[in-house]
Amino acid sequence: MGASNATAVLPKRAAAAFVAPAFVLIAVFLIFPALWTLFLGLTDYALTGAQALHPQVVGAANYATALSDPRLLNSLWVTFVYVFGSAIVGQAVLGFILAWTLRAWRGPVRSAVEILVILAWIIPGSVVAFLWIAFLDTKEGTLNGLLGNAAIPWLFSWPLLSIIVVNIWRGTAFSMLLFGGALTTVPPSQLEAARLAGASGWQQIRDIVLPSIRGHILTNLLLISLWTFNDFAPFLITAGGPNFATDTLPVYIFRNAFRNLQFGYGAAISTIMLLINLVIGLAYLRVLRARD
Amino acid sequence: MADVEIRGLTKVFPGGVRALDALDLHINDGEFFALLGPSGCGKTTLLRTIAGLEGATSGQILIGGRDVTGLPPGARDVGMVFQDYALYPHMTVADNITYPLKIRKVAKDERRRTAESVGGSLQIQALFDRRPGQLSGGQQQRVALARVIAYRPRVFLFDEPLSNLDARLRLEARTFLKQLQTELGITTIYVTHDQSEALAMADRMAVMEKGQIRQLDTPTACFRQSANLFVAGFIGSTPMNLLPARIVDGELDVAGCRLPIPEDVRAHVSRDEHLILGVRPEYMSLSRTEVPGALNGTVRILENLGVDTLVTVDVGDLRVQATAPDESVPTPGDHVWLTADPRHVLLYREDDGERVGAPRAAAGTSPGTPDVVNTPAR
Amino acid sequence: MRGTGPASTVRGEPSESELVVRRFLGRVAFYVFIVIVGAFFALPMVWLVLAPFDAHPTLNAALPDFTLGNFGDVLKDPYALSSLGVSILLAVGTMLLVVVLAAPAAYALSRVRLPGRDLLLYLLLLFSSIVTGTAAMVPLFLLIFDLGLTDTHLGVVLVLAGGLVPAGIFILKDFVDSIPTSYEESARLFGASSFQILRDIVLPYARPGLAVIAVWVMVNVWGNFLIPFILLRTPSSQPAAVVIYNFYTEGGQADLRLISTFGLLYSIPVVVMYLFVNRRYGFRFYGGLKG
Repeated sequence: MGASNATAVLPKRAAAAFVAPAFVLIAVFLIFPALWTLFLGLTDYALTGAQALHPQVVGAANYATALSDPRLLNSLWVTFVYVFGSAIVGQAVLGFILAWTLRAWRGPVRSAVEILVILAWIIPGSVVAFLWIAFLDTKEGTLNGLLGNAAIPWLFSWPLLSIIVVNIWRGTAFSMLLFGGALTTVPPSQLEAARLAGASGWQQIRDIVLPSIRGHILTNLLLISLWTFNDFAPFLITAGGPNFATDTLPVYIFRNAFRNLQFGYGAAISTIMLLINLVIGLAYLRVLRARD
Repeated sequence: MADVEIRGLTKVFPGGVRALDALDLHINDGEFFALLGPSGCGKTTLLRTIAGLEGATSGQILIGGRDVTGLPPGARDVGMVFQDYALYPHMTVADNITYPLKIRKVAKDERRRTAESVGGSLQIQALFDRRPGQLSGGQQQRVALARVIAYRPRVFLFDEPLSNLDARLRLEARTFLKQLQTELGITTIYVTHDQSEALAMADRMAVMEKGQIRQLDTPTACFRQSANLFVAGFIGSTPMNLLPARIVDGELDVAGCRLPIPEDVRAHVSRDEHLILGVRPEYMSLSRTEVPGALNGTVRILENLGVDTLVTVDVGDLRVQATAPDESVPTPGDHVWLTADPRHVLLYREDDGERVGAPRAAAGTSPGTPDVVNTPAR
Repeated sequence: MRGTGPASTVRGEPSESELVVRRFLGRVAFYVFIVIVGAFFALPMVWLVLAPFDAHPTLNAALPDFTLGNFGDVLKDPYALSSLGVSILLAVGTMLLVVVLAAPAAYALSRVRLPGRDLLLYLLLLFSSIVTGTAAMVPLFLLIFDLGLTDTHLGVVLVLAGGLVPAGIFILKDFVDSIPTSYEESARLFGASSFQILRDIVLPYARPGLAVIAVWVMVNVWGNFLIPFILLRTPSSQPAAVVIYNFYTEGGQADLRLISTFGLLYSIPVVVMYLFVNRRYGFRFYGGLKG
């Protein structure tokens, strides 16, 4: 995997030329605005009022405001639950289970399940939001209809659970496909040797498969945690309510930046999010690499 | 410790490939039994079906008298050494060896003791704390062996375990394995495509082609009395001479030369019949002076085999090979006479490739269970 | 298959009949699981295929009061069709840009060991998450404004590509890592240039990876609301992701007929695209070569 001797396969000049165009694009349209946003977090920039014309650098004032805002702390908590419940427990576990149980299957059953799971990911976000609003509707929703015409107000009584379920629905495809690929890297003979020794399916997973695909698990968790952390879809379903029950950080930022037009403050929260994601990423790296 | 019996075993893969065709086989308790054949002959499929890693389409498998056909692999009490050893890269050697015991919920001390005794007998104790990635091929192979020995199954299955070793190591490992099996006395089924390996190690062997057994016999019998053209051509480090022959005036006519018909088949051949004469280069003797009842031709190529030299002679349109000891090697261009040792001349019918004359009963079968040689359905 | 022999007492293992029962139950459990999972994923989608054909749809997925009239009504909106065309334009454009930029970069990063490479990629990923969030709206708008690209599709494509290239490189690098270097080494001996090697050897092998990236980019762009919303002012240049919100009535209520119908129209192209790519290349997030 990878290069053993870099210059033999790809000389540095060629490598630089290959990376350059992507680098230019990223520098202009990614790094620059991102840094600018980080800088904005240190100002009191807003779209209205005096600050729009003369934004001042206020240093850590935004952060102080942020950390004393109970809504922010609520938002942090909601976001953590959202990420943990839907990404780690939901998507990754369900994705793995699907990849494992389907790995030996070919044919219509496997294709059907895979297509359904992937369709859930492909359908555009705004449509998905509406599908679930319809599905979970108290009076006319299909779910309540299937439950014998119950009138359970899913989105009102269990909003966080609802958006977690929606996110699992949406995101499992990625984990399923990624783990499906990872499972093909486990040599079948190792699993067969274990089967001959009498190992059950669960024992094979625990003792052989999981240690073998540790790197893939890390990659997967990193990406889906990051994406779920930054997911704006909850807004489309519950708009952060009821009563801030589903006020994840992206929704919180949206409210402050878009509604209240406090862009400086919103940028500061984005920076906080970035730092949290960085910490989470490092934590994963520590946990999953340490055991070597 | 157990014998293995296969009854009418058939395996058809999706897509119609008939990997095993109604096989019947009996392997005695404690026997070293080889499955030999070219790629695609079904030997590995047979091994994996016995292990339970493949399901049989029809037929039965009995181990120690117990029908295991429907049992999952873990319940059949068999151990298998894979071609790539299948060692777990993230476990130490010691943990690899004791993993099957751990699954069977053997207590930790006992696991350790077993590992030490097995590791000691295979001389790998020093490696216990290493990971498989740090071991050489030969060491990995011993660890794989230790793993199956440690949990004492009733049957050992080997899937070409030596093919990943280099040539010299392979020969050493061969001796080692044979000795080990003799000491342990566990029924062993050994798959290989290397005929010299099978001949060297097996008590009995089955030569397979396209899902069927073409000969089931001791190695000596397979070598000396190959039952058909396929076996004759497959076995033997130097290829057997297979020469078209015709019965003319009570003699064999090969490319114009007249040879005597071996006594034991005289009654089974008829005049003018077309046959294939098979005789191994090792059983041909070379003479520079004319000899009656011999093939004659011109020497073309010499190949040094170490002790002997393989001499290729053009006899008419045919190429005939003989081995000659160091002292009497001819020169290319010499005119020579080749005499086939009549005790080792085999005749095969041209149409079905089967040997002329009654097939010898295979040695070493358990009493009361006749061996059935599968002949292809015609 | 006859059961010969008594219940096994070899090492206390289960009897054959117990194993048969266990295997049967395992089978049943598997099928139950598949059905539940299948239903979980399928049920919310049912409304999308029923409601557009319903003259009087409710939020419930019910058998339709069949009509094709909704489609006509949707198409009466002046921007309905054009928005789908814009969506296609943006999706394909961004996809091409990302693939063209990410492929060589992934190859270079795979073959040249840069210290801190993984950390660098992860940082870029983190940054891309800022840029796709609402807080970056103003910097992005000002940047595009300064470049004179407001209200252009090019501006949108550049911004979207900038956000997606890091993840594209991340995923593609994995594919390239699994290609043995021996192919490139032998080509070097023939005197091939790096570009030729990339084009003739690496990219063909990485085709499944490129297909995955292409689908992934297009799906992301297809559903992206925020960037086009900020950067495009003219209604006729808006993609479907934005235009779908036109189908709320003045009172802020969702017009179910129009929303469902447009939602279906809006969903079909990406589904078709995925099915096409999957049929041709398979769709897996990993390197396809195995030893």
